Amino acid sequence: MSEAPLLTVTGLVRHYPVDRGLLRKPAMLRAVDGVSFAVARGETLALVGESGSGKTTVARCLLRLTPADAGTITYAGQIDVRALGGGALRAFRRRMQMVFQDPYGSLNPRMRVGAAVREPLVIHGLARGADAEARVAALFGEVGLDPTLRTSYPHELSGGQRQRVGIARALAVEPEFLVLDEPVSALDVSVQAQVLALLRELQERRELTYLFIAHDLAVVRQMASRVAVMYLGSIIEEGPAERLFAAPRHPYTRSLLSAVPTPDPAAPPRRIVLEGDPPSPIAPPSGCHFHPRCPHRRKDARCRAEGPSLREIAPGHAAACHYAESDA
Amino acid sequence: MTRLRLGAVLVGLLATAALLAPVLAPYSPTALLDLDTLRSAPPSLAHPLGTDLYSRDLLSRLLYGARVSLAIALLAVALSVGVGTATGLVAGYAGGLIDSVVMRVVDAGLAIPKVFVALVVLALWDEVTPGAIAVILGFTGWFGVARMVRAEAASVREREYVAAARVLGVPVRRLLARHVLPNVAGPVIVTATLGVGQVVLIEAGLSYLGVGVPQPMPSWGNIIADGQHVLLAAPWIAAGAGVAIVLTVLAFSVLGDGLREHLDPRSR
Amino acid sequence: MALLTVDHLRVSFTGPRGVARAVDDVSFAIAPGETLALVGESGCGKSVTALSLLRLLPEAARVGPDSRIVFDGADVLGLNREALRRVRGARMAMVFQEPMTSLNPVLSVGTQLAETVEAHEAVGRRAALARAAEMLALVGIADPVRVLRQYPHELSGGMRQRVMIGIALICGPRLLIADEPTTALDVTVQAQILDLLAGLKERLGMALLLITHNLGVAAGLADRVAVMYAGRIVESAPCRELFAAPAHPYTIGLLQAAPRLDGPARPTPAIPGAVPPATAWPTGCRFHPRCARAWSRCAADEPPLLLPAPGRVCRCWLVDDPTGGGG
Repeated sequence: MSEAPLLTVTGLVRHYPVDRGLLRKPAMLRAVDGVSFAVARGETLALVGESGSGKTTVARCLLRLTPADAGTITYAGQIDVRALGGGALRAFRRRMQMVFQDPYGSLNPRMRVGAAVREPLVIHGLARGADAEARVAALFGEVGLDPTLRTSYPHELSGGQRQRVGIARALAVEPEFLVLDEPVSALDVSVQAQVLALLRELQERRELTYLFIAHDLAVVRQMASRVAVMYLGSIIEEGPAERLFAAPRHPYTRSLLSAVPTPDPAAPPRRIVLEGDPPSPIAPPSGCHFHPRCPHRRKDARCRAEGPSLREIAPGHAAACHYAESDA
Repeated sequence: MTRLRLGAVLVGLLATAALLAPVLAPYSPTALLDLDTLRSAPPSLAHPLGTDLYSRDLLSRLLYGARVSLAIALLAVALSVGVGTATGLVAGYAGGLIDSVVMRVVDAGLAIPKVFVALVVLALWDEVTPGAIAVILGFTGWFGVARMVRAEAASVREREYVAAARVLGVPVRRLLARHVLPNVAGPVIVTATLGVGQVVLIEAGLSYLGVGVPQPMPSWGNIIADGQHVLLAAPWIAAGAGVAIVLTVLAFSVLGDGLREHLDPRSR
Repeated sequence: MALLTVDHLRVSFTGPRGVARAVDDVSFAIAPGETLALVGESGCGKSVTALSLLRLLPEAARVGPDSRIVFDGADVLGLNREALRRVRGARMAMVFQEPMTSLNPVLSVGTQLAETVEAHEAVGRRAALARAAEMLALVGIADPVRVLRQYPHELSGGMRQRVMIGIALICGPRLLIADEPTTALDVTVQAQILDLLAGLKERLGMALLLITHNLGVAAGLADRVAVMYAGRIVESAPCRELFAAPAHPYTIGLLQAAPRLDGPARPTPAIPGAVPPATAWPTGCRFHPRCARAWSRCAADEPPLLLPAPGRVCRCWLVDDPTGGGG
């Protein structure tokens, strides 16, 4: 592929100071600790991780909801996202948008849903009055909502309907790139499948590029062409979706996959159950952050001392493990 | 009947009485009707609430007093809610240095005993008008509102729909007006409603002490002051005004509670 | 004899939009040591069912007059306060979804565990704390003595859930009700907790009523599965049979819609439509508006629980007439 990636992120860092009381110096919560990845136009990159992995913080940095402390975010090869301000930042909003996780929390409870979808049209000067109303109705139709629901308040709609409103709102400015932060986690299984189908359909019709953030690997498998797995602020494995699911190279990815319960009582029981709890991002373990819980047979002193870097194991497939080549 | 409805009815009655005072009052509130025979007269058909020391009809004085007291209270509350909400919104949403500075000012303001300040200022003022009283009470009362609004705004700021609005590119002014303020409005409305009752009480106290509404303009506070000296001989003078104050504060409390009940679960 | 029998349970709530019949004639039984999974999506009534077993329903709930819940020979709905108190926690216990809000933030872990023991057995504080430490070890907490002194906010989500399970099991109940016990947890922690529950079941021999919307979780733990939709049980079968050969179209739809890691990476078909509100269940079969195989009979008559095979029930006319109205 000769075309440059639509989004390139290099060495993204975001630390939060954490108060530890009057007399102690604040500790640093390393939410994102040097993350790099690229998303090609038209593809779906899934960013996967459990709580504390930093995936949501990455999304917030990309969308300038929170300032990154270091690193570069380059959009369309030329736009330095971190340096944008004022009018340029506003213009950028029309190219990259976000769909949020909580379908209720992401809609203003005091605003009718039609007005919520119309707002971006108005503030970006894309349409006014009757024209804006027509566009809102069209957007509702496009996401599978009855246009007469425009006058409803969020609490009058179901979770699936609210999430569709959120999608319509993000699409109003006709973005090229959508960051989807756990868009279906809060929905029931039957509704999940509907919304995922809608997202796939929209991607094709509008030629969208997705950054799909999730903790549910089974959902990711249906949506992503490439997957990056995060643990404690870093990407520990990245590669084409099918390859990663079929032959994961990092012990954490393996245990993550093994932990997903299968709806099949005849399936073999879990092979890997991790010991202990996910460590705190404030005081990550030394060396490889995963080493205290790592079940790899070749785990040794090197793992305790030296943090492995993300290195290529096979073309397009990288893992951050000293022993990624050997099995289990 | 729900609290909300009851409160609304009571406040509605009060407001009507105050507004229609010129129509409802049988006499002028300041007219000295008959210094010979009608001083401190007990309630009768001609004077349903009796007359005071200066033979002024108490019913008329109470009705006009309602106008004065309620007007002062409403103006004062409007002022304190207006200034307090604007300040609290900005401080709560902005956070950081602005928030710290503004909140220190608010903390200082809250530490000042507002009744004493009002007392001193009014005592030194030459010609006190109801407007002046309202302004003084308003400006000493905004600190509490600011603190409450700031806390609510800071909480709303973290909600996902505010993040969504920022991502959409909504400018800050519109964000505050359309996304933060409507979601902060609930507690503000409740505070405002209860505040009216509180100001009525404070104003009555100030007028009772002689530094509030000047005679002969009637205010429930100064009617009580008038009646205080003859409490045993002519209890109806002070009692009428006292009951009026109690009923007013009660009405606004019930309304405030009703609003709180009505607004809270909905916004969840 | 069954440990728990629920007969014709009906629970309704009256609200501004009318009467919501959240649980509408639910019957099932759990044998001693058996695990039953009650599976369904939001709005199906499974959580309300679980709460009614321990009479934890809110004030506004109305339980139908024909409802009967018999636990270990006792009529739960008719127990007086004191008798109910003795059952709760000691003989029938519950674990909830959100460990943070179910644990008292101002009491230490040890106190909450010991409290449960002291409430039901005549032991002193020291003995109760010793039991608490044993329990923490049993639920897989390393260094139990230190954790006894800690407070809920000092623990991770997984540990809090273990503590909750410990509190529930400390008096050795015969039935544990787990309402979405792993939904709020990370998937690796979820795997640990599910393994823990499986191990405890074996060791303590207790029966488990598992409420979940996740079919994978049900598949891993359950002996029998009952699927709920619109306030009723629509299918019930031994676990393997339900997954191998589901009979009810809703069950089939759920299984097909669930994204999976095994098998080919195909996008999963969705069930069209949405769950109807509890104030307006459809007439006839409640699932018919969303069912691809519905025919005229489905809109007209609601099917009772029919028997497609021994030990299985299914609320669908297809059991009677597999051709689906000749279509």
